[in-house]
Amino acid sequence: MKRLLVIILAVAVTFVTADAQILRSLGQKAKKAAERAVERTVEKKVEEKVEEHVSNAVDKADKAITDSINKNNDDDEEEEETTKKSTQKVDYAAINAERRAANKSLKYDSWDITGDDNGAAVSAPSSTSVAPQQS
Amino acid sequence: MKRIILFLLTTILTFSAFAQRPYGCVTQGKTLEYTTYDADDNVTGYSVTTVKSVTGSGSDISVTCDNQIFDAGRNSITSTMESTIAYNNGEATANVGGYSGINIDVSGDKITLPSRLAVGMQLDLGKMTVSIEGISTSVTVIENEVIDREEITTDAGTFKCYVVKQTTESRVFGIKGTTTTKTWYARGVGAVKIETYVKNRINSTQILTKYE
Repeated sequence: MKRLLVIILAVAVTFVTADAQILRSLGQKAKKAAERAVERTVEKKVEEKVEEHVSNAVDKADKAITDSINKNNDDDEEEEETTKKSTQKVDYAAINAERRAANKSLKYDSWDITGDDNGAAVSAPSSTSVAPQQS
Repeated sequence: MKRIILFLLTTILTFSAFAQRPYGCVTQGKTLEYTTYDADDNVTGYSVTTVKSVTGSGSDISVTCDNQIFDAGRNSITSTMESTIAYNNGEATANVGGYSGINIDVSGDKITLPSRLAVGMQLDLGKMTVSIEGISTSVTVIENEVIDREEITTDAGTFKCYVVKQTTESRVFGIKGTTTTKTWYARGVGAVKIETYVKNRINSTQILTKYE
């Protein structure tokens, strides 16, 4: 009877020990699995964020390059226009003829004295009297 | 250099005003002294023009002047420059000659001031090239109009004037600059006052302070 009790106890202890080891092993596996899951989640989130930032940076760089190209094109066009303007011969004779024609409708006033050059000087110091026009 | 170019332009444009019945001085022996002020009304120099000789008559007149520039202390900063202006049927041709040892050449369109002026009158545009010792300055007159009339008094007297606003674009060594001048012209005298603006801010003023 005593021997039987010893055997049963030994078997029970063995089972309990075995269960404890199994549980400990399972717990460690679960812990590692959880850690890996967390790591994967973090890695994924980081990857997503990095991709987002990279994408934004690429978009900004693209926009900056496009703007720069557009500006350069505008500058080139402006420079070409300026160069074109500076090199092309302006017909000032024709321009001035039009301007003079437009003046024909103007009325001359009394200040524009045609017959007397010294009419412009209302008063002058005696030492600086205005001489009449030499004709 | 800048002062010489400014003086030359003033001289050319003032002399160009002599077409037919001139808004300029054609009286032999007359001396016109201009005092130049900066934007703060400080005297920066003087220029003196003396009408040395006037020949011809009617529509064919030739005027020879001596011109000299002085600094604020009345020390001469250039030698005397002789200028000759020929008037032929209303067309004025200015030859500004040169200072001793300095060759000056002016070519291009002739910018003349008509013998009659009225407020609102559009004056001639054109392009000139001023070459000093081979250094060329192109000057294009892009705006030229009589904008007002005004009676002004200076130390030289009181004058009835027409105000001409003129904007020029110049290019030296490829560097572009825009200058606007307002000039008060009196018949028989020429320019009485010249205000020069750079970027819409007054840069200098020349006033006729002696006329004798």
